[in-house]
Amino acid sequence: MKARFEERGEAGVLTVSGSLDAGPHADAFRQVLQDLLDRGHVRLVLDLDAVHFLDSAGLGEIVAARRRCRERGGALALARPRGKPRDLIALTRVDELVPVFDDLDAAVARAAGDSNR
Amino acid sequence: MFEEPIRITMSLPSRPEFLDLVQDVAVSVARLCGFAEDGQMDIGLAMREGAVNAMKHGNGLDPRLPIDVEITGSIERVTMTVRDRGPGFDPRSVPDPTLPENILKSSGRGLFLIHRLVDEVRFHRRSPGMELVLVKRRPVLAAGASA
Repeated sequence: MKARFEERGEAGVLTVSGSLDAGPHADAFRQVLQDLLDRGHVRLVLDLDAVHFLDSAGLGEIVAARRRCRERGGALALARPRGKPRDLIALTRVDELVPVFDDLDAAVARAAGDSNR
Repeated sequence: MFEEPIRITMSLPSRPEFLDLVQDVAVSVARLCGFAEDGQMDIGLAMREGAVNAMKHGNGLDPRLPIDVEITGSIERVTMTVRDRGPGFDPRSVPDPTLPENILKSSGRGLFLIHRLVDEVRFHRRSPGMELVLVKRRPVLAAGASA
C-alpha cells in the first residue's frame, strides 16, 4: 500500500495504490489517516483509482475512516473505485455510508461541502 | 490447465504477514485448474478471508498456534480447508454486516464476503479447533470455451 496526499481547496485527496487489506497495509493506512486528521485534514477524498485489491479489513478501514472524519466535523468521499474493489464496496453496502464518485472533482466537491453524511 | 488433481497443504503461524502467501497459492491453484481471472480473484479473496478469520478469531493471533490449510484443485472445482486451534463458534451467531444496526461497524464483513464468493461453505467442529471448508466450482462451459 502506498499513499500520497494532495490538498484540493477545502478538501484533501488521499490517493492509495496497491492493496488495502488485512495486516501491514491496513495498519499503514490507519497511520496515514491519523496523521492527516491530527494535522486538521478532516474533509477527505479517498482516491481508489489505483487500488487493485480490497478485502473485508480494507472495507472496515473505509468505514472507520468515515467515522473518524465525522467525529472531527469533517466528511469522507470515495473516488474512482474499479473492478472487484468497487463490487465489494457495493456488495457490503459501504456505498450507502460513504458517497462514491467516478469523478475525482465531484468527490472533492462533496467532501468539501458535506459534514453530515 | 492440468487435468491431474492438485493438493497443497500448509501449516502457517497466525501472523497476518502470511496472508498474501496463502492467497497467492489459492489463486495459482485456481489458475492451473482453468478458472477465469474473476474466479481466481474470488477464490483468492475467500481463501484470505478464511485464513484471517482462523488466525484472528480462532487462534487470537497467537503466532505459536498454527492454521492448517489444504487447497485441492481439479478441472471441476477448488476446495479450500482452513483449520484453527481455537474454541470454535456458532456460525449462525455471526450478524449480517449489511443490516442497519451493523453497517457502521468496522469489522464483521469477512464471513459475509466468503458466502458470496464461493459456492459452498461448511463448518466442522474439530478437537481442538474449527474447520472451514470452501468450495468454488468451475462454471460449466461449452466445449472449446475457457472458464
